[in-house]
Amino acid sequence: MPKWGMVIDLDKCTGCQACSMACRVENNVSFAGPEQAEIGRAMFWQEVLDTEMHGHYPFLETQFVPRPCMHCEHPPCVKVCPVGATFQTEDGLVAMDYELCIGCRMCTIACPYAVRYFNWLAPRFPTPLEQALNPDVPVRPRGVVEKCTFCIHRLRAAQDRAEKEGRTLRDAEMVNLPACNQVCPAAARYFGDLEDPESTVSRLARSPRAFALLEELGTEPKVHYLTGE
Amino acid sequence: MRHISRRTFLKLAAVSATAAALYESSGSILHALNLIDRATPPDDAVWVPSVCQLCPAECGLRVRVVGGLAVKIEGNLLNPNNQGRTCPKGQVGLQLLYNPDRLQAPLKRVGQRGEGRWQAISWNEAIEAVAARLRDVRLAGTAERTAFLYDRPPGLLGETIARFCRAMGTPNAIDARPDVRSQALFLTQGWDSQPGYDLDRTRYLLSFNFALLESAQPTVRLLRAYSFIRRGRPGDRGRIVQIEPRLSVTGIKADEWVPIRPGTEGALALGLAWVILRERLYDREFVDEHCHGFEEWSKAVLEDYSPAYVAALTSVPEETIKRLAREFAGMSPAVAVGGEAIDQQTNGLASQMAIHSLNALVGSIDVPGGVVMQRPPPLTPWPDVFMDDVTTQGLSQPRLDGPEHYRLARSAPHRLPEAIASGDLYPLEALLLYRANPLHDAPDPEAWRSALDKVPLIVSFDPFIEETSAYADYILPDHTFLERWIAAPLQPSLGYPVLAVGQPVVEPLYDTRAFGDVLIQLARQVGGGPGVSFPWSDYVKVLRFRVGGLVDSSRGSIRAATADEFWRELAARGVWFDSPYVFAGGEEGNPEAWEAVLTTPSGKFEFTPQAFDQREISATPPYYESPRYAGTEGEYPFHMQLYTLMAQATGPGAANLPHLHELYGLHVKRTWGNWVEINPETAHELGIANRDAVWVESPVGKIRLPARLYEGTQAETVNIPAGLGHTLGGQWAAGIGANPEHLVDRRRVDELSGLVARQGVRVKVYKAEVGD
Amino acid sequence: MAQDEETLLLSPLTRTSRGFGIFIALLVAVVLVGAAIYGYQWANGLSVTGMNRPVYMGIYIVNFVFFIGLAHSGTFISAILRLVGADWRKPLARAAEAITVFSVPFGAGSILIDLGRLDRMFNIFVHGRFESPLLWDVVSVSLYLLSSIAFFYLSLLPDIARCRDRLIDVPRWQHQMYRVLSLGWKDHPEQYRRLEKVLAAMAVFMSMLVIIVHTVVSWVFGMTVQPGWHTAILGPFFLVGAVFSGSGAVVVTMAVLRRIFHLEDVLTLKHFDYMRKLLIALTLVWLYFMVAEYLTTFYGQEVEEMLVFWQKFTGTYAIPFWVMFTLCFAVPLAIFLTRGKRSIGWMVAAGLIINVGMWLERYIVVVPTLTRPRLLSELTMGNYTPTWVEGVITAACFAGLLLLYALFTRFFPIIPIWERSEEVEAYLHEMEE
Repeated sequence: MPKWGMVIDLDKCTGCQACSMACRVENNVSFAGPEQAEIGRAMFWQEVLDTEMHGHYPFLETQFVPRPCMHCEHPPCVKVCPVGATFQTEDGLVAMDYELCIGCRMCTIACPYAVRYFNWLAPRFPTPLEQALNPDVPVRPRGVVEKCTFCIHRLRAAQDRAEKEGRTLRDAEMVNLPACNQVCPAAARYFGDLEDPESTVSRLARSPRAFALLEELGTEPKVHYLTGE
Repeated sequence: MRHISRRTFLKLAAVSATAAALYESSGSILHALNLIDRATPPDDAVWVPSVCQLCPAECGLRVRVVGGLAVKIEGNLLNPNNQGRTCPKGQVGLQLLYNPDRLQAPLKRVGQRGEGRWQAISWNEAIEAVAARLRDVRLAGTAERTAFLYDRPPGLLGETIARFCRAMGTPNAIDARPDVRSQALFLTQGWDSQPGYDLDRTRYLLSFNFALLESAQPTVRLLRAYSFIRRGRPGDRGRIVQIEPRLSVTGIKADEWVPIRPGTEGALALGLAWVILRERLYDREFVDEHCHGFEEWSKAVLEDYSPAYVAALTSVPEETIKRLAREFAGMSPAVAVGGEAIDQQTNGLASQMAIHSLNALVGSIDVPGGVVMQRPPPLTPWPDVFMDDVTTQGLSQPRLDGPEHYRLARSAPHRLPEAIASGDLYPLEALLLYRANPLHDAPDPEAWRSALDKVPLIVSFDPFIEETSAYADYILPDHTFLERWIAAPLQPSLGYPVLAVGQPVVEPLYDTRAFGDVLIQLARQVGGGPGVSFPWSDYVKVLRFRVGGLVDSSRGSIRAATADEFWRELAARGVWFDSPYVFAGGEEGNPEAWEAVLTTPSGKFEFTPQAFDQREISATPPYYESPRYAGTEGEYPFHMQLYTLMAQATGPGAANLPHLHELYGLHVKRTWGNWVEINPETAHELGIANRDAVWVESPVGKIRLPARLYEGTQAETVNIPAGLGHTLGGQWAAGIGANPEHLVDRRRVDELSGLVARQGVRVKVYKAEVGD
Repeated sequence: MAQDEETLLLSPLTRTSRGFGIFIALLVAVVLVGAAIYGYQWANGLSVTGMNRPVYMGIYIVNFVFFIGLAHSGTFISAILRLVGADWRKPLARAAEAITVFSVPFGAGSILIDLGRLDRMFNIFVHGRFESPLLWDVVSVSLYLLSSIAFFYLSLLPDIARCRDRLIDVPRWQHQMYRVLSLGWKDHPEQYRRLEKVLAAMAVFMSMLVIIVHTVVSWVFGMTVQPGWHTAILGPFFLVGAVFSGSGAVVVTMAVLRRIFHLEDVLTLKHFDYMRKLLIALTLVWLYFMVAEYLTTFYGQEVEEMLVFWQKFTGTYAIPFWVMFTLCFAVPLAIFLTRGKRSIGWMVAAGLIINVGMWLERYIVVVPTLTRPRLLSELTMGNYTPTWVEGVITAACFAGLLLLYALFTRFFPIIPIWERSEEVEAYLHEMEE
């Protein structure tokens, strides 16, 4: 059984935020608008965080850290969902069932990485922007929680295709499978099977530069980072 | 030539071979990567190649179309410019195509100009109305009284506009955004285009205000190059030094940020040159064989630009100057790059020459990892324009913008308002606008408004109503880029020629027309000479005609027996390129290529350009002067620096893309608007807290912005992102942010290049009162 | 109990004074406005509140915790004190229990108001997962509500029978109501014996439930790994806080009832003094928990914990925090040690102040942690400004509680009669021998 994971090279990342944008377009996440964004309701399944600037002028340092959902192996969000609207698949993805979600938002407060978003409003796609919606991804209604899915729709389609052709998925076709990886101008992101020791993500995750966020919490995130120099 | 050890070179060569292999024929890319159809699920979707127009980089795209609707944009894997990737702007092209505020039909003004009342008319009516007026101007024997103002026209449209103007008999094809680096390259090497940089093989990038990771072109190529410099060559992590007045994203990701007084980058370059010359670190072979004027120039530099003196000019410490010089000369290949912001000071051209001279000093001209000459694709040249009497007469007239007032300018758009308003040269009868919005983008909107009032006919071809097109009499709206054909010769900084081609991805949404087609229809409707000059019935035929040159060359990534077959392949792949680049220098270089690389009168790199003598420009090496700022230090204590964020697209409708507004400033937490960055200690002295509303006032205007206390700001500089502050342009453009262009004083100009010193403005900053 | 005492206790049930009528009308108005505003929220979603990312929970959840906490006072007085044989509690028991019975629905209601998809509420029952603290909440609070209602009703039963028998001059429907609700109570010793047994057993059960319910409520927060929440002391801390605020409310209730129903002889200064001593103990225990929690945090200096710590002590939430501390500790203790000894008025003031302070305390628990999530950056740091919608709905919840309470006192004796009657006491005495 594969376990899907991601590696992001912080040395290569240029903080351009193409990943955040590609994710939005691929997954039908709408913009919040100035008033809603001002009060903290902009939704970025994939978000580029910046660390606090430290150092003495002019030797100032900060890092850009692209942050999708960690798809933790021990997800705190899945534990607390009262109805199982968020659950862990066999292949390690933390997925959502938008039909079950009652919008209690326990998962959002349980996630230490703050990767979950709630639909305070029904998403707005002012005509004719709704024509650009991706037919492979559902549009979520008001009142439910959503988050990065590692582009599960692309993953399942790729798996289906491979199955039809009677073969397994190749590492080369997985590396740039999610929209964020595919777009990254710096080619700083990798996706693949962490259970396959020869896959790109496995090899990179073994690198001495590799680390994960909030490792000490024991969530075992499946997104690994490679340090900046 | 530098003496690189065999070992080092082999290491470089092995890596560059891999890199080159990746860039080589598209066939092997398809085979090796095999990702086109694998990365996304196949379904009833169709993938159509296009070319992004949200910034001048013109990345190759593939657009996923399902049921006739465009639903996702990806990069074109075959295009070496962006190698299958896009920046965040590219992703949002769908929001431009399906934008609620797009114009849906040709419009004719009703009521007064600027009232905002329009009547939709048919295309026949629109074209005839405009053509009739243009015809009248010609028939009166005053063909020159038409002007075409354009701003970063995509693909071959710039050349098409130039041809249109020539055919019409007007010299006034005016580029609203002239370029200075091509002037620097012209003077030193004889090449009239922007230099390219072989960054993938660079080991030391000395960046002078070059926005590598923000707005420098070509966007995605540079982001990839950065990534490659860091991790693409295992064990050989290149070094990047960012010399810049503010700590930008590039500065953050660089190995070192060197704060510098704005406008003094050229002096710093000369200070580095001083050390390189004094310590004899320069590439003697290159200097001896391929340089002209070295003695004169180096003598002048050694006399005047000692590190101590330069330190005082630039505020860069003396030790840093010496260290950077030694690093630059010691690590090879090293390249010095000057950014666009340097152009925009009164000493812009001289500064760029000084910076480029550093490359010559260390022998980084046309070697792997150094400067490359960007070869254009060998398109079929335009046939001569038909010259009848009217055309000949018109073309003999002087240009309205009077670029000859500056030594090397080809375009001086900032002089237009006065020229038009006064009518001293001749009155302007018709002004055509393509993607140009001077009322927003240029300084002194009042002068522009007075000028526009004087012009009897104003026509815009933009698909959105923005500040300037609101003054038009007719609007003939263009398609968005996803609805039309584009052929774009690229300057991807790879050296070898690349032509990106895009086709309509969806049926046009509205009753708009491709600008290229409209130009042709106008020319033919005007009739006479202009009609003859445009024998092609539509723009695609123009493109196919010009692409013929590629077919004939029998070179590059597409070979075909017939022109039809070639065009089909080209349209399907979305790109043609002819790699690899053949360097003139370096161990594997072809010395015969020097002739093409150095096309100055002397056939050498000219430290002291002979073009100056040829044009009777008296200038003393090394040509650098201190910058002249607008505003005195006493009254206006801060330098204002304007910059462009990665999330800032260009062109009509670019400010009306809500996704980009929501990204906007990553290094300061601010979206849906811009801000002014102030050094925290300075802000404290002024009693300004983070997020306070402040006034930023220059000698010619003032704007109100929220302050952001940002540590990466020099004490005497304030930095403002430019591009927002629209009053029109759509529901997500109007009212968002403030426009700093109106603080620029257009009387401060680089006398050599003719460019307004947009970065040379001094301002004062003070807290806004509650009632303001 | 003397005959006139009984008459006194039953007299409010026979008429509605003008003042009372106006009071009810006002409460109804507020509740209706609240319902209308909830309709507005239903139509427009939770966007009408001030919640955002990362502050995903706000005043509604604060209200939830507060109302459940308030409810515990009743159970504490009626169940726990019953177990330890504190007879002085008897006159207060029903008044306190009424707080419980009418408070819990608003606690549960606050959670429902906070749901993004209330229309899918039954998913909790169909698809419920017991790994989730929210399910524990649902189960325990439901159990608590049901058993409180049962306990309350059973304790009330003999007095309903008394009303049925003694109150002749009331409207027909009211008499009918007593008849139906009295379930044929015949005032037999045997019935009293059985009732006493059931109540004693339920008292044990309810006491356990009090501890479980509020601990489980705290675990909605405590079971996450967010700084400021993931602390073992959270359960006991919430529990003590609940009993504390509830006891303050009991004091206020006592004083109000005493004044309105002229119960000066039934609820004497002695009773207030018992409550005073209880409250002193609770104030000090609350202080103990506060010190234990914050001193430990401060000493450890863990980065993420300290960010939340400073948010409370000196940051955005400094004012509510220190006001809370004053209102929960400093002022009440001062009152209890001085004026409160002799003045019921001051005790009432203290009771009210404690409740305001405790509401703030819930706010301080919920919101500052959310503004500083563990993975912190400029982008994930948050703040929260509640909107008028949340304010109106909160006011309506309080008005609803008061309304139900007031209506109850209009139709049922708020001070238990049967427990204090001599005959019953005699029966029970006999049983014990």
